[in-house]
Amino acid sequence: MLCEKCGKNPATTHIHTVINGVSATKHLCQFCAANQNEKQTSLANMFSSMFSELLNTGAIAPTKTCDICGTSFSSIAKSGKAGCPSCYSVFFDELVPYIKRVHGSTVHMGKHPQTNAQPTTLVAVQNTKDKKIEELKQALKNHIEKEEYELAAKIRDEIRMLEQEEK
Amino acid sequence: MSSWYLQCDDDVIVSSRVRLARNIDGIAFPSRLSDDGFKSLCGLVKDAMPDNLGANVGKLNFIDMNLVPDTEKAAMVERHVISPAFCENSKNRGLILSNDESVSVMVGEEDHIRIQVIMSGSNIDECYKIADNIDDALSDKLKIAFDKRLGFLTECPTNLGIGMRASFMLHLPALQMSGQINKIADSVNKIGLTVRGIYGEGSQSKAALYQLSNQITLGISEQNAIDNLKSIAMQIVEKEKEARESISRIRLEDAVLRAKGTLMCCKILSSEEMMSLLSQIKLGISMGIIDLPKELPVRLMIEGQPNMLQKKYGNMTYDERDITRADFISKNINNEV
Repeated sequence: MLCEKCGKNPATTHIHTVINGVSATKHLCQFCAANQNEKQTSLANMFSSMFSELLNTGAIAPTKTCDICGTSFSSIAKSGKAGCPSCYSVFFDELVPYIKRVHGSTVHMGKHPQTNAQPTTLVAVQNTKDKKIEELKQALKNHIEKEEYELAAKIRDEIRMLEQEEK
Repeated sequence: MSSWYLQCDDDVIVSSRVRLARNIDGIAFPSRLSDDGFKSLCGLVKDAMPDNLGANVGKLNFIDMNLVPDTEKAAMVERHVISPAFCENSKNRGLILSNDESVSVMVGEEDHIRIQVIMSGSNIDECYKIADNIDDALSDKLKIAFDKRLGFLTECPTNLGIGMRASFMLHLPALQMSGQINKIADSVNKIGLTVRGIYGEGSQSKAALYQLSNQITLGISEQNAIDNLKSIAMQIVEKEKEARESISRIRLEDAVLRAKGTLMCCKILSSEEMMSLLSQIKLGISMGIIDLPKELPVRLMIEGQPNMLQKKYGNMTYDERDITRADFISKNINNEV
C-alpha cells in the first residue's frame, strides 16, 4: 500500500482516530508520518504551556517578582525559563508541582559541587531601557496580530526613539 | 588524538557525548543577560578554566566568538563542536576548545556554561569523566548555582538536577527500513530516554543516524543515568544487528553497490543525497559487502557538509557546492578502492 499523502512511498505507519464516534485510519509513509510528529510540541514549550494553565486559573499572583533579577512569575510561565538562579528559591512552591510533572521527582540524587568559591557580586541583568524596548516589541506584535494598526504605529515610533537614544 | 569524526569505526555506535549545564550564582540567565553581562561572564569563566587538562585532553584555548567568521561558526555546528543555538546567538560569547575538539565549553548558550565532551564510538564513561573533571575545576573557582533539593540550577527547568545530557549517536539503517524505529522511540520515552533523528526532519533521518539521550535529569544520579543509557543502547544495537541479518542479502548488496557506484561517478551531489548514500556505504562496510576503511563514511558525512566544504574550497553558490561535493566525495572513495 502506498502512502495516502504523498502517494510515492510505501505506507508503514497507520494512524487510527476516533472523533465523535467516527473512526478513520490514515496510512502514511515514514516521511509523512515524521512530518505529522513534528507538530508535537517540544518539552520546553510543554513546560511553558503547563505554567500558563496555572496562571489562567488565577492560582498565582502574576505580580510577584524575583528580588535579584526582577523576573515575574508570569514571565517565567510564558517563556518556560527562569530569570536567574534565585528565581528557583523565590518561586520554589509555585514551580515544584511542574518540575515534578516533568521529571517525576523533585529530589536531586546526583553530584554536589565542592566549592570554597566566593559568591559572584555581578548581577548583570539587561538594563531597563533594553527591557522596555523588548516589552514594546512584544506589545507591537500583539497589536499587529489584532490588526490595531494605529496603536502599533505609535509603539513603533516609541521603539525607534528609544533605539536612537541608545545609539 | 584527532577529531571524533575521523575515527568512527564502530558498526552502530558512531559517537558518545556528555553535556553538563552549569550556571554561576548571582548572574541572570543568558536570555536576560545584557551584552556587557556576556562579556563579564566570559571573563569569569576564562579565568576559572584550567589551561591544561593533562594527557588525554591537553591544552584548552579560549576563543572570542566575535572574531570567528560565520562560515567557521556554521562549520563548528556541522562538526558538532557547538550547538545551532550558540551559532545563531554568538555575540560576546566565548568558546573554550581543546586542540582535538573533543572538549568544548560554550559560554553563554542557554546556560552560562555548557561543558561538552564528544568522542567516537562507545566512550560515554570517558566522556563523563573528563566533563566531571572540568566541572570540578570550574566549581573550585566559581560559585556554581546549586540547590540541595533541585540540584544544579538551569535556565530551563527541564535540565534541573544533574544538568546532564548523555547521548549516543547510533547508525540504525535496518531498524529504520523495517519501521521498528518509531516503536523503539515510544518505548524508550517511557523510561526517561529519547530517540530522535539527526540530519533529517522530525523523527526520521536521511542518514539513519539517531541520537539516544537521557531526558530525565532530576531524581537520578549521573552514574545511574549513564548506566540506563548504556544498557538501552546495547539493546538497540542488538536489535539493529538482528534486523540487519533479516534483510534480503541480494537487495542489500544491490543498494550498497548502487550507492558506491553513484558516489564514485557522480558530478552533482546534494548533501541529502550524500548522507543517504554514505549511510548505505557504512552499512555495506559493516555487512562485509564492500571493502572500504570503516571510518570513511562518517568522516565524509561531516567533511561533505556545506560549510565544511566552503571552509576548504572558499565561498560558492549552492550549485557550485553540489559540484564540488561530488568531486570531493568521488575522489575520496576512488582513492580507497
